[in-house]
Amino acid sequence: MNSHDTDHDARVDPAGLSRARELFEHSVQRIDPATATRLRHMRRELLSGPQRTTRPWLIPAAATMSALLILAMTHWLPAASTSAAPAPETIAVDDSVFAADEDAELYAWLGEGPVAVGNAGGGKL
Amino acid sequence: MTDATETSLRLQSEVFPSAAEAALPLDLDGFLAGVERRAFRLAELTLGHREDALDAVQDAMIQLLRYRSRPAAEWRPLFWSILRRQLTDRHRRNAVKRRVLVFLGRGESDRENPLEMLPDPQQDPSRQLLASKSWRALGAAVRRLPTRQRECFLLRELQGLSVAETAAAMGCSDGSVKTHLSRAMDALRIHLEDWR
Repeated sequence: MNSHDTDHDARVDPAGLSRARELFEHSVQRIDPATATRLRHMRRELLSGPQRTTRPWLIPAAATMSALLILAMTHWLPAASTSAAPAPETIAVDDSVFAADEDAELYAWLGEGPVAVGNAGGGKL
Repeated sequence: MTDATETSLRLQSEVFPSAAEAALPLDLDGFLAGVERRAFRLAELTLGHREDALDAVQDAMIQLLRYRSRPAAEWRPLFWSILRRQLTDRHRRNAVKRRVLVFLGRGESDRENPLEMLPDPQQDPSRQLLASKSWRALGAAVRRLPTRQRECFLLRELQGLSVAETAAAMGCSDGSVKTHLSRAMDALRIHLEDWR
């Protein structure tokens, strides 16, 4: 301690002050392993990882902006792509496909392909 | 070397007994490794709760990172000043919570956990028990002190800062430090005598 303070300390130093200091020093030396490990991990994560912000509102705000951007992109991009590209024939299913009298050739082709019969049948694909 | 740095170095050498403690830290990791345990115990004495103490130390470290570009000689007074403010704020919030809990009919014992020290296998169990009881009593007495007296006692008497460093950490004059300390010692006198 500062030498200029010793007179003050001697005047106010009660009998138990040295005991209080001894207790404190002893407690510093006798920290439990779990606490010591947490302190060490805390320090290393702080110094090695990205800087944590002391302004917690920044994280939700950034997350909200990111979410809004993603939503906008997912909403906008599929609409743009479907308007530009022609609809594939296999997707559009209308009643004309099942006009059996008018498309015998189609049904004949369908009849030639393998049929999935599931567990009951022996037909394996 | 600036006058402020030279003064800080002189103060450091007067406070710390060993050359290792008096030497400037090589980096922030070394500095924090040197203070984290003492900071934790001071926080635990103030707050009476292990998790609160760990949170306070962590927040103090986070805030100190903002000053990592400052000269290493400034880290120590900065850190203790930051930690002091953390502990004061948390202690005040805890006091409000305790009053609310008491109003709602829940006792203080629901939250407080005793301050624990790792047993010393080389120490007599009865002495160890006495030390643990004394440690808890010290914590209880410290937490009953008025804020400024508590800060002054912890920083000056337990952490071992000089009067000038304590004043810098507390944001007051050297004379105020001595006044607060004198009153703290009077308040603790009865308790300290019991610990002899």
